[in-house]
Amino acid sequence: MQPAEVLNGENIEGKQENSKSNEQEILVCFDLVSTILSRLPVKSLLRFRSISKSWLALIGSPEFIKYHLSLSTNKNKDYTNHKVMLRIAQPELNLKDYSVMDEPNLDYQMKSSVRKYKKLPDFETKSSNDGHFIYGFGYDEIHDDYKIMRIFSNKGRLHDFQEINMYSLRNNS
Amino acid sequence: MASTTETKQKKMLILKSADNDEFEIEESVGVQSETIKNLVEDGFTFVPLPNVYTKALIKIIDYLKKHANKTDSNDEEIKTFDKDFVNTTFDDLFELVSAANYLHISCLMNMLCQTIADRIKDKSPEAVRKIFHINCDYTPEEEAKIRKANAQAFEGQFDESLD
Repeated sequence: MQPAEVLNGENIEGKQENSKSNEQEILVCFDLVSTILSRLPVKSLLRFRSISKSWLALIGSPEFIKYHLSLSTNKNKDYTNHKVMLRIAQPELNLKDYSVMDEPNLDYQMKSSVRKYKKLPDFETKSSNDGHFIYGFGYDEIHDDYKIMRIFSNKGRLHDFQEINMYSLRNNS
Repeated sequence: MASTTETKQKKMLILKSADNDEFEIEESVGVQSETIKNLVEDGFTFVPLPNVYTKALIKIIDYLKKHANKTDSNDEEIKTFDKDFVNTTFDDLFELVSAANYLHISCLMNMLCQTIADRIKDKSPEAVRKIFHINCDYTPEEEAKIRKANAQAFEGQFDESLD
């Protein structure tokens, strides 16, 4: 399958007309640009957001991000963080040094590779503050969704948990 | 009886470029292009390619011929050929990538897109603008804001060359 079609399947006919009208100057039609850019490392993409408004919009679009992720996953299975990450945090929740999350305290913000932030809703907890929280963050390929799970456990014993919360980015709940 | 099937003539196709040059190639070479394959399956032997210019078409036919004869023994030879094939200007690469996309030759598309990506990945935004013939439509303030928001990606030195 042609990569350009994956990104912009409905536009194959229109594209042919475009390239015909650009005989003089060599311009690459926009869905080819996205096919090329999808092979770039994240750092280059972040830098190239400053090239033009249309590149900014392209690099930030969900279709592009998804396609970029699928390519980099195919290329190197160990490269992307597809596995669920788990980490035990103290109630003060310092997640600063964590690559996918930023900001301490209960207003977590999730950070994807394009560095967009999203404020998570407050997890309500009925429990007292002397336990541990365990956080998991992962990508759910089946539902194309990012999920955060929080387990509250007393004294850090996993088998002694009292509460589990699940947050879905897609549903924002 | 066996000899009659062996002497069967190779099927040929004629490709016509956008600037009206005609090229005769073997069908088995041409059908590596999905676009040509579909036309051949519909019974066409004359294939007009209104989006592919002669200069690009000559290079693409070379590529298809080389790759049609792929065997285990000439692997290295094909690798060298591919390396030479992409060793050209950005404008040539863009023309080739448009043609490869129109002709639906996925292995060539992959190679060209990856080559372009590898060659621009360490370049400055200014260099990439020139390479892609893009006019910056940000105001200086907007551009400064975007750069600030992505400051991490601007750390270090970037390649300003246009080749």
